[in-house]
Amino acid sequence: MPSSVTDDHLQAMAVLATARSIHPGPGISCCLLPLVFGGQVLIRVALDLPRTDGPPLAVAARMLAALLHLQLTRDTRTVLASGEELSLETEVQGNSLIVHLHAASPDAAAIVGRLLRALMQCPVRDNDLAAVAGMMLGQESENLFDPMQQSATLLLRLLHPADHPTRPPSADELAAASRHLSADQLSRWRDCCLQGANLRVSVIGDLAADTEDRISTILTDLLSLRSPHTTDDAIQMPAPIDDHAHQDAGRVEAIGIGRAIPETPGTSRFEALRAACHMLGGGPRSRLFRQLRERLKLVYYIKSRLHEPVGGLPGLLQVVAHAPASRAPEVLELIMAELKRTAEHGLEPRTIPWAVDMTVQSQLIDLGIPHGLARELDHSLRHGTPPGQALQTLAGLKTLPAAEFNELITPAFEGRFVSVVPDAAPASFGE
Amino acid sequence: MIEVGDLGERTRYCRIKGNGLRIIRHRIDHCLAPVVMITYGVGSYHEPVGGHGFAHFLEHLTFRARMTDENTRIIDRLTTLSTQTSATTWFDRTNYFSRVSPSRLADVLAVEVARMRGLNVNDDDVDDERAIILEEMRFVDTAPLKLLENTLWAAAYPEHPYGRSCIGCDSDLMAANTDALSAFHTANYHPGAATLILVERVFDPMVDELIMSHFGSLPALEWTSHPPEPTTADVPSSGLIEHDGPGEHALLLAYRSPAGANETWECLEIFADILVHSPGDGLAATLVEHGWCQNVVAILPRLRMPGLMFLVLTGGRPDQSMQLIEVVQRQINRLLRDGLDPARVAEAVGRLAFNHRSRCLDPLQAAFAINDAVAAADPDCFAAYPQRLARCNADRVASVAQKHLVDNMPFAAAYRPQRAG
Repeated sequence: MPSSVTDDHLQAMAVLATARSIHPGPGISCCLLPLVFGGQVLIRVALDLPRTDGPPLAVAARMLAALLHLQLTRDTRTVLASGEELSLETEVQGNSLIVHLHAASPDAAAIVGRLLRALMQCPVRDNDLAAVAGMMLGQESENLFDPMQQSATLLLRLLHPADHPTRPPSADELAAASRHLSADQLSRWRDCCLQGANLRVSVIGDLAADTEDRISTILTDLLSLRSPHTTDDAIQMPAPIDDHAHQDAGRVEAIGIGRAIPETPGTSRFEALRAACHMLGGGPRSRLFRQLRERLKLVYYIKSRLHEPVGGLPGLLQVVAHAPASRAPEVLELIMAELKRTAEHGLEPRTIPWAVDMTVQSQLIDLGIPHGLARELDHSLRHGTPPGQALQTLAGLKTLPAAEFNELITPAFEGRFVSVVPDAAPASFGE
Repeated sequence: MIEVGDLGERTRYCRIKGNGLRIIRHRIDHCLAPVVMITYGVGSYHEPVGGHGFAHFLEHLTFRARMTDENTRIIDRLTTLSTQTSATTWFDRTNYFSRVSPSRLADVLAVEVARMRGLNVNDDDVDDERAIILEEMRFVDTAPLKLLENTLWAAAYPEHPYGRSCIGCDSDLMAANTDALSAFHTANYHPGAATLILVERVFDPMVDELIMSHFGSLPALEWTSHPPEPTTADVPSSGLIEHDGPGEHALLLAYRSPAGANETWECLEIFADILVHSPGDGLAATLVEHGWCQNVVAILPRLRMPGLMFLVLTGGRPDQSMQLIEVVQRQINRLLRDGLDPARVAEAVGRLAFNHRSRCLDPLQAAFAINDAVAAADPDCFAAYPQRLARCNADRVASVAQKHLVDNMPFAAAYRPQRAG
């Protein structure tokens, strides 16, 4: 391994080392990273929602995300911005409701203040309900044209018991929930969820010298409005499923195979798995790509991915291949054989340094994207670890003997996987 | 290396005097893994008769090719250096890109020189890659949105390369051989046809030397792009072209659009933004609010020649495609009826300029924005984009919208999900 890779590593760590954290009180934390950002600021607000007596948490979170998006985008001029341009995105992962606000503003603290006030106090109106339902279904429908995303959702549904609070809802479940929605109900959930949520704020951009103090004051003021749940494990991970299950995917010709991964990013086991996943199906040099696409020409698209655990959802080790239903059994069998081979033999010792090196590079790429940086800061707040923990762990893995490396990864490949396969007869889904 | 033009403090535009290779370097302070992208000005526009799909075939084949004087394949070398390396082909360009650690920059440049120098492949390589491309064709061209997009290009430009999928057709792909593909490579892969795009953290002068040492000695060849002028067909009298299959409902409307380097392109983009994103009455809000569909986006590809602008509406009801088209056209007419409000134009300009600046914080997206401008024949489209937007006043935007969205009716195609019997 060239020693110069370490220099790239160090450069990234030096950038992340300038991040500063604020912890004004229980359930609230903030991380600031000053960067030359073209006069812009990116704010990520993550709210880990508690259970309520409303609908399943995964449904309620999506409704709240749609409500916030509707309110904040419609009223941006008056609520969020005072002349600045901005864009806003919301997403839901498990019980985490995440808001990204990107603004062209020299005053990050003012934007943070306005965003948090808007989040806590956005009104719910009767005539918004149809739009909330439409936006909620619209956000879900974006995934339907992405085989990787759709397969991940289907796999996570399979991995969770039907009554688990963060089990990703189906489009039918969301539509049913939206039909019985009232403004009062939505208002109650909003208060209950948002006041009880654990709140993490990450801020990146051209930050003025007094930004940290001003945001600290804003967050301290916010404490009086809230009663956050005190533990961050209010939503239990699903129990591992020991059955090999099939489900007709129906809408895309994607074969998905996956299993839940309980480990946390930044730990040796998780980072070693990230490297193993890269070796398995991370690109043109990976085993699955070479065998199924290059040698056997059975698929055009094949990829493996390790999803991080987030919002009470487990991590997911996922392989996705795009193949017609007629070829699904053969492709599935070959992927399972490769997973089994990895469980039995791990990675070849000579490939481990390369796999680790490429995983470091993936991290550098991710940290060079604003959303990737914000995710990293949020992760450090969530787990109480310094930003860049994964990079540090990977540096240690480079020198780990192959046998020890393989001990870290093989258990993840030993259990049984769940799978989704394309349906031979597309007419089997529908209303 | 000589400076070609002033593209602002964050972007440098140079050319190697001896062979014409253009170099655009763009600086992003938080870029930890530089982007190396090479854009060749050749796409499916330039394919010979009987060579439909050659540009894309070549894109695949150059990865399988061997490095000069070595037996190592380009893909094998690249994947030891980069975790993210790929390529795309379109009507007017082919581009190759890799994300690398800064310390690997020289190695990746060496690979790109090898790719440019020659196509070191044999007949088995061509056969192997052909099989993969045929599988790609099945995968990509049957995906609902791609199917609709291809359908509309073919309907609007039946006599032009736009009307054919960039992946190619079975018969020409089956007939492609090593000699023909090598000849296509020789004609189009050389410095005068290429632009090297680097997105990096700092402008290190050593990188200029690195570029010169790798590309400076490559020979100069004459290359000019003469893509055929597209002429559009009439909108079919049947109105809506429909496809059935598994999936969600989708409706695509396609409007004729101007060439990407023409400033009327920005005018159309501004109007599309007003149409879709205006607070209160934009289609993205109103159609969703009234349950007509779940998502609306406008897509305006920046092409060297006139092309198409798409409105993509997904998650609607399959039996309401015609009504959706009427709603969209009504909204366009309503916006234009009493003269376009200058305040709306100013808002849209602000939104688009901000989105551009945000996009350019992501190194790969910034590289693609430069690539689009290069393919449209004017890097200024990237660097001076906010100024180009600012020059579009309400009257001009209205007149462009009238010409492209009202005087010419849209081509429309819908994807209807099959339902259980």
